Amino acid sequence: MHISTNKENGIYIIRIDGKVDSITSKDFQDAMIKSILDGETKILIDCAELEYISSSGIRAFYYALREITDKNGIIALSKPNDNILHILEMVDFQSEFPIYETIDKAIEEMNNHV
Amino acid sequence: MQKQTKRSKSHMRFLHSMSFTTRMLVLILILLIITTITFMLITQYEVERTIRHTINASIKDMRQLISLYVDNQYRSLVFHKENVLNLYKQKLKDLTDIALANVQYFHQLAKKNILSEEDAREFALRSIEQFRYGNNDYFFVYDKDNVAIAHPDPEIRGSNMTEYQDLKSNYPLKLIRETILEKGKGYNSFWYMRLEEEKPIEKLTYSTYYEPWEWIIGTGFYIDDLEKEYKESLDEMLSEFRKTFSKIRIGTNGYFFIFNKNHIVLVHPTMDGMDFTEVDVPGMGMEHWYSLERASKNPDVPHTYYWDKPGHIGNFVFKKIAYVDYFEPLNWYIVSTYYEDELNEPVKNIFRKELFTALAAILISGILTYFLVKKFTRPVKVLTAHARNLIRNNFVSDDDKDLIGLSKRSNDELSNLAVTFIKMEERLQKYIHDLKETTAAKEKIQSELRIAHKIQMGMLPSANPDFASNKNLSLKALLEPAREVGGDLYDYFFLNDDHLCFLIGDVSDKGVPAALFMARSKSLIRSTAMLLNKDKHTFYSSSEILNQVNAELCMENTHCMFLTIIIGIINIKNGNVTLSNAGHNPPFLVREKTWRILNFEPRMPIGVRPHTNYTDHAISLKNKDCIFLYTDGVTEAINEAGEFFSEKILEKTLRKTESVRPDTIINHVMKEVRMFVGKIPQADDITMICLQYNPDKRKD
Repeated sequence: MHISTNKENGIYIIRIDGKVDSITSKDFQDAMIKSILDGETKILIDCAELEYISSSGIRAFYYALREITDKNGIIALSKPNDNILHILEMVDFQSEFPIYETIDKAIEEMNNHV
Repeated sequence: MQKQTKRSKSHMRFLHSMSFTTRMLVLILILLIITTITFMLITQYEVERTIRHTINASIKDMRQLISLYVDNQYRSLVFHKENVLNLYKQKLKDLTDIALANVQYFHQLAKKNILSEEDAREFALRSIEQFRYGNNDYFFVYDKDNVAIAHPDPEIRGSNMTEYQDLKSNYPLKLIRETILEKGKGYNSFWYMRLEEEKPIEKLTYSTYYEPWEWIIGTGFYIDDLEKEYKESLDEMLSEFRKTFSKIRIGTNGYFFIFNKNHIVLVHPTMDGMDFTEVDVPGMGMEHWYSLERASKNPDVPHTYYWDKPGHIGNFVFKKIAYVDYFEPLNWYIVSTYYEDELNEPVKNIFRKELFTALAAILISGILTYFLVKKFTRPVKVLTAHARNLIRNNFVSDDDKDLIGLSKRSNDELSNLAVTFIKMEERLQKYIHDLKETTAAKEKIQSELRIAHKIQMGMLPSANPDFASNKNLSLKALLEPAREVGGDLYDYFFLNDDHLCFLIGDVSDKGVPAALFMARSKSLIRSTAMLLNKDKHTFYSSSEILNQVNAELCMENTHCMFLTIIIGIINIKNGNVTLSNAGHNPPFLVREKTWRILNFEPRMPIGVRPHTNYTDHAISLKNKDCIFLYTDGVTEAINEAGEFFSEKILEKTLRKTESVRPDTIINHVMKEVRMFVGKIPQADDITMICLQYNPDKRKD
């Protein structure tokens, strides 16, 4: 797994390449928590290159969600592939995390969120 | 070949078994010894050559000196002899002149008529007859007819001596007349027997001619006196030689000696006057004389023979070198001779001194080398000792002073080594420290895993062999734990005689926290399920159980752990089932060999949101219907190509199952998963539970 970050139009974008499994999920979680502690409230996870996410990866999302909810923030996902989407749907992920088809759409929507 | 290698190897081992100091010492000593031996051999050869050359040259010089000396002595002798002869000759001439003057005087008297010619002649003859000199030597006068007209011997006086011969058959008067005819006067030699002597003696004669009277006037004397004097001088010379030669030594005992062609030893330290023919000793005698004489033909070629020497008299075993010079005027053989072993003596002396010096040098070098190498290798020893201490103290060095001192000593390789060593030691210590921590951590993880595993397995319901046979239900469950406990669980229990609760779940973490969360979840589910709904006097439905348990788990869920779970309650009397899914993989249903996925409206896992509202899904099972539940350990099993087993492959696998029976289905799926993953280690728990409604079993 490889993580890269950048900020675009006030949205902090975390891009994940590869697999988020029980071994790499800790790094992914740390990356999100660090940005939240740095004061980011709008975080977009770019899932275009995400190959796989395990239950511990999903747990990292929930963990980060709890942190950002206290600060009235939002975590969203963009462009997950079908397999990922299938897993996410299974655990009713959309009810907590908005999932967008494109990054631009995500940025636009998230900037509307107050 | 192999033997050779072995031997050389064992030799190397022998060398390697020695300490560095010893090796250096051995090496340097070997080098020294080789150098010394080479040096000594060369010098000995050179010295021997030089000494031989010098000695030979000096012998040559001595021989020349001796020859010159002998020659000089001889020449002075001969010169003396000739001088004396000349003196005698002069004397003969002077005396004859006096006799002639005497004759002339009487002739004058006759001319002045003081005497008659007759008387004058008579007086002249008689007066000459009276002349004596020397050793009774006399004068003679012969007339023109060779008649001795004046002679002391009365028998000869008046005789005609024309036919007279001396002992060597010479005709004295004939020879005298020839001399006078030729030169007017002169010398002749004749040989006569002296009175009372046996050998003929040379008599030197001087004759002159008095023409007026035709007289031959002369005198002679026996020159044996001269010979005697010469002989005496020769003897004197020989005794002079003896004195001189005795003082000359070649080497220690070498000497000169002289013998003549009559094999008489003339000058010799011990054999003066001996005749070779009279000596009958091995190595001596005529043979020896001949060999020496022959050697004189090549005076510069050494002649060898065996002789005795002082201290070993009569023991003719000592090799001698001799040069023989022939002195022709006297027919002498001058022999320069020396003992070969004595010639080598200086060489041996030099060799001995050299050997002693070399041994001393080697000894001193050895001692010096020993101390120097000791000094040089001290740092290495310090390092070695330090390293040894380090090993003994488990790589914890208590004292680096020795190394620090060494590293500051100078800038040579050993100091650099010390610096490197100190660095290495620090790294080593850090490494050991890290290793300890890592090992401790690993150990901790291992023990945690064991604990987690125990918790997980301890929570599973013990299989009851009578369970299925007594009821209208067959059930098979399997949990294949991964090495790192994956957090899967399943459970089933009867709520009463007719209702069975079953569940399958997966905690979103691994290890001890997941195991504990699982345990908590499981006991919460059991206790909640067993509770009666107070109002309706019935059991909680599966969704109600999830709602309750979720609310409970969401409290104090600091780790944000969650549990995906499917919980179901089956009425075994009629086959009615209610299922509730909290974010778990949807189960399969098989009816009449047709498999399908039971898709529910998705709901969040429990433990995430406290107010999630779970729902019930009702299914009515017919005879032989099966419900197959599984965890993502099945669908997310990875093969060597990195592919997932996936829901699709699972579905295919289920369709291919030969008979629809829980144990067959589960064993088949497990077998297929194992084949699929190959050698890839199992990453997650694999859990399956399959139950079959069998109301007609008793009738079968």
